[in-house]
Amino acid sequence: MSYKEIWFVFLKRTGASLPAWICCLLAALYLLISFFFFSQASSYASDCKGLDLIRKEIGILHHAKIQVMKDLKGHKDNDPAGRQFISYLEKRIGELCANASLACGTWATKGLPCPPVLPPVPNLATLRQPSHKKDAEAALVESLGEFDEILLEEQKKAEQEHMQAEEEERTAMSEAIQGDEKGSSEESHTKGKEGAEKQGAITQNGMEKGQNKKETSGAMVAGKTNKGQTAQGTSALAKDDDIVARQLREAAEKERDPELRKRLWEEYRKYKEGR
Amino acid sequence: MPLKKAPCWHKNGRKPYWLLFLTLLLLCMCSCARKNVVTVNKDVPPALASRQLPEDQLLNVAIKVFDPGSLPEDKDERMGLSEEIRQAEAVFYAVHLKDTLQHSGFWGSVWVVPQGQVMEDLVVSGRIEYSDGEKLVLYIHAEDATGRTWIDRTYEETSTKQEREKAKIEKQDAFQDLFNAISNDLVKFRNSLNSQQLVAIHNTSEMRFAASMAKEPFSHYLLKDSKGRYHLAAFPAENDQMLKRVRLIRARDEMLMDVLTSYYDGYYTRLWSPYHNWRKFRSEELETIREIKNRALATQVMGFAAIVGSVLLGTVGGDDTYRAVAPIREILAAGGVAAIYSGHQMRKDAKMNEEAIKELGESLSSDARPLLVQIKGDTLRLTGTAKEQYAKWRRLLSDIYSQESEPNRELPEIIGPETEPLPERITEAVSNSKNQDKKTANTSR
Repeated sequence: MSYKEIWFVFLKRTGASLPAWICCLLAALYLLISFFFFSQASSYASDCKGLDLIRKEIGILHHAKIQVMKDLKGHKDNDPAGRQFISYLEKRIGELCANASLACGTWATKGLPCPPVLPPVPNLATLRQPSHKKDAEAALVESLGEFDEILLEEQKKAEQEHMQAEEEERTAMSEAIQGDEKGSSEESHTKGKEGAEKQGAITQNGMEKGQNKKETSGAMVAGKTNKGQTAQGTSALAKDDDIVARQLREAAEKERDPELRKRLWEEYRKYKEGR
Repeated sequence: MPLKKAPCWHKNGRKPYWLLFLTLLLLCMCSCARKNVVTVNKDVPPALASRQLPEDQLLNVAIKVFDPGSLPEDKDERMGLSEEIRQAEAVFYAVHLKDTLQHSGFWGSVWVVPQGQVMEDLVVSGRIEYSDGEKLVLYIHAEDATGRTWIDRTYEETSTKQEREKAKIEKQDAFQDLFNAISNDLVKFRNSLNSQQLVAIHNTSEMRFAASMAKEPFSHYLLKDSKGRYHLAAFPAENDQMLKRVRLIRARDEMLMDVLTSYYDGYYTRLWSPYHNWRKFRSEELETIREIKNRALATQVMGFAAIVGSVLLGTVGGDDTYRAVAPIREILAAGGVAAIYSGHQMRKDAKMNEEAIKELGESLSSDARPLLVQIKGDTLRLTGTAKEQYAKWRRLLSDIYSQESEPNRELPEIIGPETEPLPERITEAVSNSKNQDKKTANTSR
């Protein structure tokens, strides 16, 4: 049995023609759609319960605004209270419009004297969150700490260098004193050889001093590598030696036995301090 | 009686007052030019604080490394001197001035800092006008944080042999009188200020530093007058958070200056011996040269006199006399020639001493060169790091300040029942408009 045969049997039994059935179907469809829309509209109406009130209030406020604006035009002087009132009304209208659009959608404000919708304002409160300030503060503290570490290292290094320089200076001083002593003995020896010829003596003196200086600087360079070999702390004392002190010092310098050498230096210091 | 003609500069018969005025002006200018040059006397005692001064009365001093100046143009004066020696001295003398000021007990912290902008209570800068180991001419300019000039003059001293020999590291320089004179002048000016002025200087330097780190929050506390002097309009509260932050940074700045000064101290100590020896031996060589030259001159003058005498002797008397004094004349002439030759030889010997001076200079230069390179490296490394850090801190302070200073307002409430209560007139207007609405509705019905 084909579909056509089934269809014809159905029509005969119900006693209705095909166009009548088509009309019935269309009517059912219409009813379905209208029911759907009706149910939707009723849900909107349930959400926008206060929309009529809002719209009415907006209208009243707008009317009041226009009235006040007319009054203000009549007055030549700028009435600050009037202006304040207008701005208040505008603010309230804006708020109500926002309420309406939020509750029922943007369509709800159509035809109302609502202010134009402005682009969304960045949330200053979130921008100004305390965490941002804390970040900068923490970064500052961290940076200060880093710099402290650098400075402490540098300070350590500088102090070490300074102490080393002082050590070298002490060594150089004592070596320079020894150099001076040797230089002066050589000088007197040369003078004796040269005789009484003063001019020659002056030149020799000058040259020897020049050489002496070079010896001293050489001794200073040597002193940098041979720290602690010479008696430290005697440089300051050795400046104004008398004959006894000088002899003691020379003996200490010449002595090879470390024990005896130590004793002689002690003797020298005691003598100087006692004097 | 004919009128006497006036000289060309005496026009219209008027007396030349302008000439007198010009001469006086020139004399005044000459004296003024010398006014700021102080020739330091011998044995200038240092002014020392008799008691410990209260902390708020102690000003911090920053001494900038001196300007090395230029070498003398005269070849003889420049003998054995070099740019390197000058640069070495520029640091050396700055450090010694620091030591002298520290010993006086009138100051807080005293630092030696590289040249550049420094914001401290008192900033001392200087320039070496002349220095040869024997003589030192130093220009000094000292200015406090308010822009007030304390010292602006040149000091000069010629050291004696004893002074050079008695020199002691950090304590007693060959030119100690000159350094004492500078220190005493600074102390004199400091003592002329009252305690309020001292505190104002201290606060101004703090505000200048603060404004340099964070301009917006602090610059309005400072006023600068037409003379370039700074005045404090106000001072932030002690609990001001920005001030606290800036003080943290300033503590680091002072620490940085401590480190820099430690480096300069090390440099000074290392340079002391070579520089001390150079000054000592160079002056001895110079003394020898002067002595030789004086002797040579005296010998040559005597030789010349002997030759002239021998010539004159030949012109006196007759032939007999001429013959009689002939041997004397010959001896005189020969002696004269020998003396002149001897003087010439002496001058040659002096040239050897000049060579010795040059060698001494070269020796000091070679000693100072690595020290200069090291100190420049150390200071550049430190100041470079600090510069980066300061730039970072400025940015952070600016961020913090902008976050703190934004007006503390919140977004307006969009949804919410709470609104401002209506003023009386507004309520009236609203009720009127409502009544009007009712009336229109009734009429339409």
